[in-house]
Amino acid sequence: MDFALVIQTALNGLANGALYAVIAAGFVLVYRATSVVNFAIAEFMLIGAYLTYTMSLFFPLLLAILLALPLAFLFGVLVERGFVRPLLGRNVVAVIMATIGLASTLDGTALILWGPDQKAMGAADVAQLPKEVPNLAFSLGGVFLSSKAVWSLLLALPLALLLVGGLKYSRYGVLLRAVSESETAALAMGINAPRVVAIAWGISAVMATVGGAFLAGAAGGGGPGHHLVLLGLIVFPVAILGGFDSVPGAVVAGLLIGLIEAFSQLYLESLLPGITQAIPFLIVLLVLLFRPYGLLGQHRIERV
Amino acid sequence: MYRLSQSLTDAFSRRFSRTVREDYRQDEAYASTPQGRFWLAVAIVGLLLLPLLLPQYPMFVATQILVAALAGLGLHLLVGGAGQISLGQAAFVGIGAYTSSHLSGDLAPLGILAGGLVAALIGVVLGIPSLRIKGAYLAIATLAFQFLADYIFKRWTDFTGGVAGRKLPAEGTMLGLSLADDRVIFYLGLFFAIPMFFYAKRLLSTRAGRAWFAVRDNDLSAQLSGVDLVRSKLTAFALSAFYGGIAGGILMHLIGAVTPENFVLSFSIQYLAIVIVGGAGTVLGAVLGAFFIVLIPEVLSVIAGAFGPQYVAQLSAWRSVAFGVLILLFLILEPRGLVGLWGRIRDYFRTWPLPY
Repeated sequence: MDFALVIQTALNGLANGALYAVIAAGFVLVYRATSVVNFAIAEFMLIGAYLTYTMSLFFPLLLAILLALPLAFLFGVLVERGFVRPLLGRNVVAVIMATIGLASTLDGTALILWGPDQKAMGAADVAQLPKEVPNLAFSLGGVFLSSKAVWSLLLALPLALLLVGGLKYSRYGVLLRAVSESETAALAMGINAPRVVAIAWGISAVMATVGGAFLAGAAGGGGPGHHLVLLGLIVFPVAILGGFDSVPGAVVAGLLIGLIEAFSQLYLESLLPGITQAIPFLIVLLVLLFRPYGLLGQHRIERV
Repeated sequence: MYRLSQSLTDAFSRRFSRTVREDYRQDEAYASTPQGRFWLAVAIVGLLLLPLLLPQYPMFVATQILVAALAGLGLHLLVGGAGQISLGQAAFVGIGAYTSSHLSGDLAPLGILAGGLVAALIGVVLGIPSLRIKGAYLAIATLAFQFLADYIFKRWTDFTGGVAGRKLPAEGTMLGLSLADDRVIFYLGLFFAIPMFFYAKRLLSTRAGRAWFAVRDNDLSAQLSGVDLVRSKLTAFALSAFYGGIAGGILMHLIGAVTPENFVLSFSIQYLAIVIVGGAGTVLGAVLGAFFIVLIPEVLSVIAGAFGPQYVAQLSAWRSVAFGVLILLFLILEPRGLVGLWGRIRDYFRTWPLPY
């Protein structure tokens, strides 16, 4: 076994896993705040990545991502106001169906607006602006890391940890946890629960945008295309493994699934081609059968 | 005096209301009024005569509607009946299609039946997690099942033919009738669909169906009133998968081939859309929903063709937008679906012009 290859695979896996962690953390945040499972999270990613791409036609890439974030936030809030709030108090199945309907709508809309071909991020004609992000690729003792992986590790991991910390220590995080504990009690304490919930959706969309833009290859290597929707479905295995109502759990599970994917790509793919895409969903079934509360979730899943 | 007024009101409601039922026999009847029985007979005769009236392509679409209605009805038993959500109906349709593709020719009906049975068996296996988890968790478990099934469809080449799929012999015949003729397929479909629709209708209004509704509304109190939760949930999953599998077999004969892309997640969502648009809780809903959902792409393609070729290329995108918007609109505005909408329109005209 080649030691350098193992290290390189692990780091690349962690880099992808950090992106999964960011997206899943936002997804879990919404679940905690509103107990809505957002089946449209992959489309949130898609829209975010395309927004970044559209911005990158006019601005340098890093600025484009920053400019796409407020738009994504607004998008998340609009979704909450338009589609989630009218269904408040309806049963779980109805709300799940609504997010599935939303996913289908957004999917088609993105296809119509941006077309089915893969876009090249930041590759427009305005030559004056520095389009690419600084190249951070490096190689050390036989371990080569692409610029994309370094950027993902540098940006996504702190962002995920920031969300975990913010939820635990910041004033807003406390408000959000109060609302998720009991919305009625939070309202009685004078917390503006509807606003807190809307902001949670906004943050979720922002996290999905960051994850989507980087998965799509904002730091080199490709751009947003329709395959992102399939990539985005990895959020569900990550959230289930992490415990579904635990943001730290989602981060840990994201990194773990990134690692598993990288190593299965390295060792299993030659034996069973295509297995890498199937493994996360195998994990889902196993976790749900044997440990439904995941790694760090609360042990309060209803037994039937 | 009280006796008199009571007998008067009883007579009145028997005369004018469709909803008053006095014993379980009436509750379990397929059609409770003479008028209802008449329309039921007209519908069945109409279905049997349909292939004599329509040319090939509309028959193809009609058979598609039949397939969608069967698969939708299966999902409907699970979602609208037992209240268990599933994002894996397309996978069951696929299992039925692949299984029946191994038995064609004279054995076609047997193959379709085998497809349904295999799907039902796997449905029981998928139902096992539902004993432990529900709601969103179950949705994600079935989503995972859908992906794993897709993986197996593409990789188990001996059984499924891999990505290229399996093709039926072009000159297949059943009892001397050409299986390439969509009319024959339609009758083959009706042969399965009519008994299955009656069975589902009966099931929902008898003991098993009432047990499902109890589980749907509150599984804990259902258990307290003596409903065997394990049994009702597993039968719901098995039946739903069986309906899906049968639909798959018919679909396979209709297309004449079986390829993995007919059984992906977006088709599972399409079957969910049938349930929601049709209206949860009634068999008629599945039929109306299937009509609606299958005809949308047809109507869209006509419109796109009229606008120009560049729109035809985007057809699948427009289709997902249409499905999504329909699901959202019906959920927010008319949760009882087309059946509820029809009831509202009927009530409006029945009391017109004095709505109070």
